[in-house]
Amino acid sequence: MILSIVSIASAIVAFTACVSLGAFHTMTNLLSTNAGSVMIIYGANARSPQTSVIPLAVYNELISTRGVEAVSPEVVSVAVVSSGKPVVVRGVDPRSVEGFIEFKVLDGAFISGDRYFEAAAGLEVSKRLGLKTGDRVLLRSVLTRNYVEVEVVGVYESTTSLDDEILVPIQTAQWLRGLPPNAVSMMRVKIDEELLPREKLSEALGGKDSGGEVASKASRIISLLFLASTGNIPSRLVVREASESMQEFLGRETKLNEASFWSIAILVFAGSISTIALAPTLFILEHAREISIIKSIGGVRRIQSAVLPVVLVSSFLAGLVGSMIGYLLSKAFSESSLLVVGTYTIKPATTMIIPLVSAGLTSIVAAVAAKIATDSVKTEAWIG
Amino acid sequence: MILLSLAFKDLVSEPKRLLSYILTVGSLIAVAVIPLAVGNAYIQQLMRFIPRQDYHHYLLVNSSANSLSDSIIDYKLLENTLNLKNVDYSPQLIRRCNIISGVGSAVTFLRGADLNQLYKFRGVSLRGRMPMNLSEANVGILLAERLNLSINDRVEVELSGRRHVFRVAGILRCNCPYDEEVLVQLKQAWTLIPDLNGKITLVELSGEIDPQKFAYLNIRAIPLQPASQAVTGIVESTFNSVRNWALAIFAMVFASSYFASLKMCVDSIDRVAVLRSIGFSRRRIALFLFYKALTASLISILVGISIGIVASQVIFRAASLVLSIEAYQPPTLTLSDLYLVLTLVGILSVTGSVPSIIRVARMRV
Repeated sequence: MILSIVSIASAIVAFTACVSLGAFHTMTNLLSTNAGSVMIIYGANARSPQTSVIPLAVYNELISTRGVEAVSPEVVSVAVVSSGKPVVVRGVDPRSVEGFIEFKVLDGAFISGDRYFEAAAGLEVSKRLGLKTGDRVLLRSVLTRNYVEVEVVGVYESTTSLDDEILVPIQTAQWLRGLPPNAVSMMRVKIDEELLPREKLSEALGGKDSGGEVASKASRIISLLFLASTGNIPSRLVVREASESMQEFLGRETKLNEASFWSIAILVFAGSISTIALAPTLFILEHAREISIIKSIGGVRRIQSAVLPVVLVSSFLAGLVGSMIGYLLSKAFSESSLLVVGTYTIKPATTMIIPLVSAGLTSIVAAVAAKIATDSVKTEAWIG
Repeated sequence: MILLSLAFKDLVSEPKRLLSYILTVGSLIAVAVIPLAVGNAYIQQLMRFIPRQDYHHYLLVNSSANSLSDSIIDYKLLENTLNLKNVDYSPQLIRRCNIISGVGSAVTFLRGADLNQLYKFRGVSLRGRMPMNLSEANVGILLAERLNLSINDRVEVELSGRRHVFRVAGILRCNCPYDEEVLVQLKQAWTLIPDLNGKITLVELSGEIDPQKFAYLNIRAIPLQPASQAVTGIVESTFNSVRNWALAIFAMVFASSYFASLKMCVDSIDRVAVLRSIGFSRRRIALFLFYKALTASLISILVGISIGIVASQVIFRAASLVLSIEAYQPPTLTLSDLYLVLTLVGILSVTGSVPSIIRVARMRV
C-alpha cells in the first residue's frame, strides 16, 4: 500500500517535472542542433533571432572567412493554415541547412530549394495538422497580407524543434514575412574553434564590404536571390550560441528561467505531501497493536531501526519506478500532441535528476510520516 | 436521512481527523486548480492586449475546393455581385504548367490576370513590356534566371496537355511568387484554356464585406493577415497543455481519495462496531461510511478549489510584481473549468472511496 501511493505520487511529481522542464528546454533549444560549435548571428536590436532582420550579404562575408565550416541563412515566419491553426514557416536553403541538421525523410522527398511552391513538413507538425505528402496547403502570413499555396513534397524527422515547423525555400518565407530577397532573419554558423574562436567571429563580421560578389560556395538559389536584390539592409549584428540566444530572450522578455519551471514540480510535490504521509501512517496504524506490545517491553529503538530503513529504501525504489511511469506518461502525452507550448511540441526532459529528486523527496516524506506514526502509538494500546 | 445526519455529526465530532482528510484531497485539487486559474487569467490578459481585428483583405475561392488549384469560380456571377460593392478586386486564373526553354524545364504556375491592375497593386517592376497578344508572356526574375531567359526569348509552355509557344515580352521582379511564374492577361488565359473560359481560380479583394453574403454563390471569403486568429490559436494550444497536465493530477486525486477514505474507515471501526451491535445491516453501515466519505469529499472539493483560487491569486500577484505587469486579470476558473473540476474530482473522489468502504463494511467487527 505504501509503495503504490509513493509510486503514484512520485509518478505525478516526475510527470510534472518532465513536462515543465521539458517546456523550458523546448523553448531554449528552438535553435539548437547536434552539430558541434554552432553560433547564431542575428540583429542586435531584435528581440529574438526569429524576429530579427539581417542582410543576406553577411552570408558572403561568413562563407569566405577562414574557420567558418558552414553557414545557413534562414527566414522565420508565422502563418495560419486552412484549419486556422498557426504554424512556424522557416525558409531554408536545403544544401546549407543540411550541414547543421540531419533530416531523415520519412515520406516523399526534401525540398529542393529551387521551387517556390514546395514545402516539407516536420513529423510533429504533420501529425498535429494532419499533413501528408502531396497535400496542398494555403499558408496565410500573420505578419503581412501575403499568402502562398505550397505542395507538401515530404515529411521529415530531425529530432530538433524543426519537427514542429514547415520548411520552405528561403524566397517563399521572405514573401510571407514581407522581406526583400536580400534580407533574412538569422544565420546559423558552424565554426572550427581552433581556427576561429567564437569571440573572433563577431570581429570577422562587418569588417569587409558586404556587397561584393557572391562566393563560389553559395548555392544556386542564394545566388539568384542576390541577383534579384536591390539596395542594402543596414544592421548591427550579434553572435550568440544557439541556446544562449533563446535563454537571454526568455529571461529578458518573460523573466522565466529553469528555477521557475522546477518550482511547478515542487508545488505539485507540496500538494502531494499529505497523501504520501497518509500511506505509511495507515500502515503503522494497522500494526499498532504489535508495535504497542514491542514498545511496552522496551523495544522502541528496535522498531524504529527495523521499520524506518525498510520504509525509506522500499519507498525510494517505488519512487524510482513511479518516476519512470511519470516519464513514460509525459512521453505518451507529448507524442499524442497533448503538450504544446506555442506551436512547438514539448519534449519531456530526460535528466536523471528528476527521478532521483522525485523518489528521494517522496521516500523522505514517507519515512518521516512512518516515524511520527510509530512514535504516536501508545504502549497501552494493545491492552484494549 | 438519519444516516446522513449521523455521518455528518460523526465527521465533525473529530475536527482534527476531518482536517487531515480534507487536506489530503484538497491540497491536490488546489495543485490542479492553481495552473488552470493562472492560465485562464493569462489568456484573458493576453486577449485584452490582442485588438479585435477588422479584416479588409480577403481571398475569395470556391468553398468546395480543397486547395486553390482546385478552385473554379464562375466569374460572371461574381463580377455582378462585386460591382455592387465598394471594393477593389483582382480576379485571377491560376493553372499549373511546365515551362521549357533551351536550358531546361521547370514546373510552375501560369497566372492570368488584369496585369495592369495586378502589377500596380503588387508594386511590380517590369523590364520590357506587358503581353500584348496571345503569343506573349511575362516571366518572373527567378524563373528567368533559372532558365537563362532574356527578353524576346522563346519558351514553350505545357498547359492542360497542350503546348504553347510564347515570346518573353517582359521580366518582372516583385519579391513575391510571381517571380517564379509565367503571367498573361486574363482574357489571354481564357483563350489558352478554352475549358475554363469565363472561369477564375480566385479573387484578391480589398474592402469591407460580409463573408457570409458570398455563401449563396458557393464562395468562401478567407481573411488575409489573420494575426489575432494566430495569437488566439497559440495561446489556446498552450493553455490546453496545462489542462492536459491537470488531468494527470486528477488521477492522483483518485488515489488520494482511496487512502483518505481508508483512513476514515479505519478511524470509524469503533463506530461501525457500535452500529453492528445495535442491529445495523452491512448495507446500512456501508451507506453510513459512504455518506461520511461523500461529505468529506464535498468539503475537500470546496476547500481545494478555494485554496487553489486564493493561492493562484497570491502567485499571480507575485508573478505580476516580478514581471512588472501593472494591469492584470485576477485568476479565476471559467464556468467550463469549474464544471470540469467539480465533475472529474467529484466522480474520482467518490469512486476512490468505494473500495475502502466495501472493505471495512465486510470486516468482522
